[in-house]
Amino acid sequence: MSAALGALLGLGLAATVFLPRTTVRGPAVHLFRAFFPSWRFFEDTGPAPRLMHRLIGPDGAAGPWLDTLPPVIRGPLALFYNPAGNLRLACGSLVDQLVAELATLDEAALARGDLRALDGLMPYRLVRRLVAERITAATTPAFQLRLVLDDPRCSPDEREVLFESPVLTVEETK
Amino acid sequence: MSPEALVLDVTSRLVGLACALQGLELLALRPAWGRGGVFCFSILQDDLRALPAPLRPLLARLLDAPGFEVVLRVRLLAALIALGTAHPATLPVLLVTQVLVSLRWRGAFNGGSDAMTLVVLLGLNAAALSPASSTLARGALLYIALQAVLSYFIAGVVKLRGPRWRSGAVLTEIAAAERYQAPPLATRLLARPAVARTAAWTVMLFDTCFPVALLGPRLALVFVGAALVFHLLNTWLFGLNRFLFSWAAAWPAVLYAAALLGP
Repeated sequence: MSAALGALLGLGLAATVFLPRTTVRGPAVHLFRAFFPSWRFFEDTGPAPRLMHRLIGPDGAAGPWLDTLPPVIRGPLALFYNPAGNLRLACGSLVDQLVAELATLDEAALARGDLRALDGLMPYRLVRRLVAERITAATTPAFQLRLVLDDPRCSPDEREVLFESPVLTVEETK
Repeated sequence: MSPEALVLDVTSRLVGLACALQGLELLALRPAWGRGGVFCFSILQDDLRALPAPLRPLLARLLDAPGFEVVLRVRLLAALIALGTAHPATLPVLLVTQVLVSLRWRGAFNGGSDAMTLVVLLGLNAAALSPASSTLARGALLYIALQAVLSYFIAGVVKLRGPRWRSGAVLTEIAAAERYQAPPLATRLLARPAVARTAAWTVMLFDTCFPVALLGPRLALVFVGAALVFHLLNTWLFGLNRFLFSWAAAWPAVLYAAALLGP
């Protein structure tokens, strides 16, 4: 490599490390984000959010919290063909988006029970459907969803709760 | 055949393979994106409000279930032709359908692998604009190579900056995370701090040192070989199979760049 090219490449690499990062936000940017890769894989080092739900019986009694996303068993073929596993990863990204967008909501409004902003969040509407689809076989008409931090150091009961939805009916979610 | 033409040919076939596998997976997921599915278009169409109004009716036709199935089938056909013949006519089809797939999944179905597939397709399409121009071909291949190098380098640097990455704690956490469904053996191994720390440092050093690959073809071969092992492990541990094939499509450009820029 010529010295000039090497220096140029070195400068470019240094720039990616040391120059301040500019975050451009907006719905259109979000839709076309594949054009602007950040390559910052696994930069957020905290535990990932985990989606759970519980069934609410006709008498209002709540069942235990359950994992919403089923385990996926990967065979040797998954090297080439892993649709269920990749859908699960996409659902994980959806849950991440929900957590990020929940952080932008007015907490006071939510506390007052004003759920319009919540219902306006696309990831929330999709996650609701995700849960509702998982429980269609049950005879339960209602459910609640919850996001917890998937911290392996905590027992299931000690996990930090990031969000808990109001009681939702399967019918209105579908 | 010039070196550039040869590398473009191999890259076209590899990106054809990546797109074919991605297409087969998405077609298998029709219950999820079809009408009535979790990701049905009747909800996702609200996203299109962010785009210019004249585009919306066309996109709605292409992204609702019947249209999207046609998009995926056309994409699969183009990918198979690219894999078999590296025909340049397949490249714009793959590029446009890649963008449509990303739009359908709110920007990306599988994050980085969508982005790298797009990088490779952008480079190949740029080179195909003037097939006789070796300058354009060289520029396109260098663009793909640079993005591939950056993808490892930036991922490595951001990890090196994190104290929990340096201690190995993050790898332990990822291996135990419900999301990735790592094999129990790997979860148990990475629960040991010494193993997790060694593995984390191996990953960080490999990622951060990747630009060294550009110093010569032999070094590039070593790094690409290591990258193959790295992606195979990621596939086994975390199910990230799409990354393997998307990045593999960029490796010929890295080898080309090393031969061009090296001594």
